[in-house]
Amino acid sequence: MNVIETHGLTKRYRRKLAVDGLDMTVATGDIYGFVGKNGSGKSTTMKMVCGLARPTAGEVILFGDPERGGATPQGFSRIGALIESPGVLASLTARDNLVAKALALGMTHAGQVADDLLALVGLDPADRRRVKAYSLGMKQRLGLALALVGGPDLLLLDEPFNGLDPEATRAMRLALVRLNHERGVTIMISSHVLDQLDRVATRFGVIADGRLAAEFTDEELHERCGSSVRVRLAAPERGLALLEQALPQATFRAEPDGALVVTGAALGEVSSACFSSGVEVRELAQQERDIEEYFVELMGVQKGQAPSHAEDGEAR
Amino acid sequence: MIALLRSDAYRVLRSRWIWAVAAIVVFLTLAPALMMRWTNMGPVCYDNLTGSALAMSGVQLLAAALTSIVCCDRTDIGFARSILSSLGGRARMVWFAEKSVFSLALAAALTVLAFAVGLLGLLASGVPVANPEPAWQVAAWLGCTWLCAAPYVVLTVLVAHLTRSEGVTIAFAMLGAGGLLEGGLLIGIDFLHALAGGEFLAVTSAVGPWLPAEIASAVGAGAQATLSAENAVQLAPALRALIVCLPLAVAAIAADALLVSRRDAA
Repeated sequence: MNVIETHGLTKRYRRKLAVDGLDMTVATGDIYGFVGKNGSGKSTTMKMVCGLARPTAGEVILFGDPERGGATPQGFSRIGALIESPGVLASLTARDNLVAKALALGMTHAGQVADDLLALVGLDPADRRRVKAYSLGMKQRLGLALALVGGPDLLLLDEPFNGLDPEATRAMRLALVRLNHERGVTIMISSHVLDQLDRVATRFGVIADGRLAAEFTDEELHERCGSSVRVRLAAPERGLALLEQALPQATFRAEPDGALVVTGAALGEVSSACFSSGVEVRELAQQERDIEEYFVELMGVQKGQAPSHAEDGEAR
Repeated sequence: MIALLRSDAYRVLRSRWIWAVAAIVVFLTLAPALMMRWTNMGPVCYDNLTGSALAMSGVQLLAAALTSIVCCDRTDIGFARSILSSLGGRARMVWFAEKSVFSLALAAALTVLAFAVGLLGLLASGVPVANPEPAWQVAAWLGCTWLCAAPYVVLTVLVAHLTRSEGVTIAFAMLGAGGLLEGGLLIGIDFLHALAGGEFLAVTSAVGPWLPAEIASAVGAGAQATLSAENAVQLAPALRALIVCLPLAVAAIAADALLVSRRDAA
């Protein structure tokens, strides 16, 4: 079952089109990495998914239920969200913040719920300091605990690694994986920290200019970011045409310096094809592709334009 | 609604500022009373209990100020967003209505506190009351005092949710509950009326007695004045409070729950 399905989801703020006909699916059990540049529409999409913002057009179907948006009969949503900022009461303690939210959701044993969640995110339930004395990283962890009050089935986290030191980042990452594995919580995370996202996400969605530029699994990502061959030719255009003919299974990407990056073909195959074409080779080397570089390229895709190396069905 | 009220009560009672406000109310009431007792410089005797011995004129201002503090957790970035993201569509509407209900409950608690502390102050001062009103009149007067605070409190909630700005909300609470907004508006209308050839202050004299600030002022004169129709409009301030303040408060709650709740929360 899909936990989130969006169809033609659109949000317009006066003259700015923040999200433009987004079609996205997040399946049960996914840890969905949502990647995009600043202002690409990530946070707006998440706000629409959790109902904090109303779509201008299109629809969000949660838990396969278009009628009640997956809300419980008591009117509570099955979603926990941490969007943009932790959203804490700075003049209260962390425990009081959690108890206040648990009471708002009508939970009994609110104190016990608060203590359990504080332990889960690595904060001390006995800490009597007001939240205003907390570091940004501690506030982020408290924000995560707040999002977990009520035992949500879907967790929306916008930049959860912001402000965290390496140890806290690792703890947050492990907590998310544990929630996913042990409690079956589906998680959607937007983050600029791509190496952290790469370690937890099972599927990725790349948003560019309010549209979904690509959606793929982590296996597909690692296939695409495997080894490639960089070749610089004296006559790049003619060389590309000849290489495409000789290596129909490979994909080609042009680098700013005129070199070609060939994926899906071994170094020897590319070398033979170059030799056969008769085009002078100035550089030929095997290279590993950087995941960050791959994402940056996808994020740069403009509306209605597929990436140069896009495989069938990848560009949406 | 009950769960949300419990949550708000919890977070307010766990805050330091509410106890600071209570301490200030107690100090400002008891300190003059004790000064009177020690210096023998107060009145020899009060005419009656309400309006003379117990002045509650500051209640609506304080209630609106407290409301502005309670409701200024900006819904777009604050704790409210965490709650709202965990509520379904209808429950969100209830959340908005609950803020008004909670603020009215806070105003009621403040009215009772001010009255109780005022009685303590009266006992502490040792000044006798010549003609204390019967209990039902005192109760009616307290109810009217709360009713006069209600529109300011609920409008403050509405402004907080509409603007999501702490500064604007606090300014509205102070100016609104202080009667300055109503007074300024009327003077402006009177000025335009006079420019158009009408009599200056004609609008003020016609509309003035029906303004919440004017009704609150009439209620502040005491229980007998609150229940008496012997005034310029021949209608008891208690009835005017029911005619003006109650519908105004209900309309503001409805606008908040039905209209403002439909806006994007973030």
